[in-house]
Amino acid sequence: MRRKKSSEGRYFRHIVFCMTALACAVFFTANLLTPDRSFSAAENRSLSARPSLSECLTSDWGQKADRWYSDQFVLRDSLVKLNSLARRCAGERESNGVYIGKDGYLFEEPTPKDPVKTERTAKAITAFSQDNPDISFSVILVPDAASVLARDLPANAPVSGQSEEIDAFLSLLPDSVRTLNASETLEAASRQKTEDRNEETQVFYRTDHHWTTDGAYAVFQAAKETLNIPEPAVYSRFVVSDSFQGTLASQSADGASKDAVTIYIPDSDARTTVSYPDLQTRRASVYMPEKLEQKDQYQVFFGGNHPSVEIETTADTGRSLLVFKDSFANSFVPFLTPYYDTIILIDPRYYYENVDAVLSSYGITDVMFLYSADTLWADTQLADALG
Amino acid sequence: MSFVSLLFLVVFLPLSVLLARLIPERFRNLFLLLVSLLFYAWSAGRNLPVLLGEMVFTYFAARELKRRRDQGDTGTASFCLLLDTVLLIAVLAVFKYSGLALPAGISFFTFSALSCLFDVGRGEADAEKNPVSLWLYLAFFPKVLMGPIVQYREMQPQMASHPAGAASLEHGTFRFLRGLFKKVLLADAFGAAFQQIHALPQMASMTAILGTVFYGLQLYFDFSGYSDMAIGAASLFGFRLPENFDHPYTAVSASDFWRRWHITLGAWFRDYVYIPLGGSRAGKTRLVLNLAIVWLLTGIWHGNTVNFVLWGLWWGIIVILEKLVLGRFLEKLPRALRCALVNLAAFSGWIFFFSPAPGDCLHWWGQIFGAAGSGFWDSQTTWYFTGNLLLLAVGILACGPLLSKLLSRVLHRGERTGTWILAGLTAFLLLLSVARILSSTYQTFLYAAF
Repeated sequence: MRRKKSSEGRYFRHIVFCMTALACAVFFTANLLTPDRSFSAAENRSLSARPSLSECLTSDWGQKADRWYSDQFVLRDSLVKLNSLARRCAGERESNGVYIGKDGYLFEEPTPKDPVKTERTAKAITAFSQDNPDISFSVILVPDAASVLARDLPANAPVSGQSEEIDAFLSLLPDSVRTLNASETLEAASRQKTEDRNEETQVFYRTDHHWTTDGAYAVFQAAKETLNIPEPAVYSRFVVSDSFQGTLASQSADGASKDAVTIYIPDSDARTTVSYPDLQTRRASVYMPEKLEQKDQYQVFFGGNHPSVEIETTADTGRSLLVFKDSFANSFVPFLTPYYDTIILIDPRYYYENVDAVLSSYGITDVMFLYSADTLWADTQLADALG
Repeated sequence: MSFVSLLFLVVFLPLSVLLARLIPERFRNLFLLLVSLLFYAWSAGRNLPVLLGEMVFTYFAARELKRRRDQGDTGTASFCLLLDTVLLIAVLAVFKYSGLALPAGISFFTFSALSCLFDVGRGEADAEKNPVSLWLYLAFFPKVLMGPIVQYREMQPQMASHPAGAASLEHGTFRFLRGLFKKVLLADAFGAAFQQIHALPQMASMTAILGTVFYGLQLYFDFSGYSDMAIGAASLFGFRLPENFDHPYTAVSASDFWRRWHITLGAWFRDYVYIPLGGSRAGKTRLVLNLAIVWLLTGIWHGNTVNFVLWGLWWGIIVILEKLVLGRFLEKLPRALRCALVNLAAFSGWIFFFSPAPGDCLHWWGQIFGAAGSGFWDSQTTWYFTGNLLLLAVGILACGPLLSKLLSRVLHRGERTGTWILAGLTAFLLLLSVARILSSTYQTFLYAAF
């Protein structure tokens, strides 16, 4: 009996040894034979390359070699997905800062509101509006998905809503600045069934931190007074993709859901010309359909973020709009083309030129600030740009 | 590089095991020394000269001690030993307190060097003429970064011959995998859960308690997992390193806990500090003093902040109280209650460990006693509790001897099916560990910082 015991333990150890040796040999050979990749679409970053001989002489060559080997490891993306699947099976409902919600929704952790930065930003907007009394000012702030779709968050997730934070920020601005907290509108829209499709409006992407074009459209409808524009024009809605997997899907390595991307086109004869100074190109549309072939399909709107964008229209309304914005505005601004002759978009995160010069040279009549709370709560560049 | 780097697991370790077997035995130690230096340069980069310096110093100091002892000159031998000790401790202190980046593993290899000098100085081990075996003792890569702190007299006899037979290879592989699973699948998961709770500004009592438990489990699985990997890796080259952990959270007294937690550090202080000072044989006052010295040093060894000193004193007071006052009373209590009391002491002690300063400790204790005003248990507690329930259950089970008993029970029954199911599970855990290492941005072991 005793002999059998030890031989059985030995048999198990023997299997484990052979298995481990085999696994090492397989991974070793596969890594040797697989060519290195330079870019990972799933992670949206360049992968480390094999350290060169000169890099091997620096003191951190070990870390570089480690990074190279794990970046180029065979089946990297699949193994990362396996890990996130295993963690979800183990009961975890948060993955790398992303909450795994109900109905396929992924939620980003909200950015904490920095009181010092936000107060400085509010003061900068106030001063800017008081320096330009002839211009009409508006501020639209968009909460994050976790705030609007709290019912789809995993139970007990430690997330508090942003609506009150937004109200508190907007109350710091003078009365001359028209403001809109998009929270209520988005929440109402998310509960309301649309007439034509008989389903609740999806106001945020399931796999991306941005709002959907439908969400932006609902807020645009509610922003008529804030922006002082007449009865909205009629727009045609097109679904241009149903395969979008956004930033949150990448961040959480969760490949379960896919989103549709829609665009709206005004039913008018007005034409639009969009110039991108950073790309030195002009386009006849605010949309870049070729971006739908890429990983980040949200870039279909203006091709992503740029320091500045100039939109010229044939609307002939005598009004010119300057927009200070983050990426949430990219899917909102296309609704505005029927109401302004010129729209200038400035993303202060990448824009370093004089803003006052823009006001005079384009004859700006309206200024809009359109931000997501997540960007604004930690932002310093807007106040810097308004100087 | 650490043991959880894929380059180490897939390339470095298998290749060095393979090459060590192909190389003639007389060159094997030299080969292992070179491999160990490569490993150290890999993980610690520019700090290699510190290790090299201590290696050269220890070799000549040990030879000198031996020469004087052989000449019967014990007086100057003792003086030299004192001087050498002061020098090595001074180097360690300079790095710990000057704010310079701490060379990885310096606390461990300095203690190994001291062990060598003490053993040679006391005539308990020989200082060989061939420096390779002494240097390999100091720099051997499985243990250079985080121990176990094997004593020179234990390892020196193995240097002449350390055959790595099939049993040694198989045992080493299994032991290494066990450590890898502990580190990657348990310690890192507990670490992530702890970090989330630790980052909260305010929390309910139970959330703070849960956070403390997560930290204590992370520390245990991290360090005992690393020790398992070290012992396993050494076994692949035919070396036997001493055990470092023996289910510490099942201990029934404070002294028992310290016979089970970081065993080799406790043994080092016992053999080179406590016993030379007279141990428990020189009267009660002297016993208290000796224990106080040992625990103060243990605290200081772990880190350079006030909190580590406080942590050392915390244990010192508990051990002294237990030895002199409470011991008899405690022995009458039921086993489970005694175990619970030890864990209360141990986990309370970890609060000193994870708080940067005494003020942070007080803040944490405040949270435990409800300073946040969120009550005993709130929805946040439910979130962290339910999200980590499976992990917690597996972790608590793995702290005791139950899982290993279950494993040997299945294996001993002699059923092929059971054996194959366990082998399949091991393969799955290995794949999952690789997946987890890939998923994580490189996270270093907690004990590498000490």
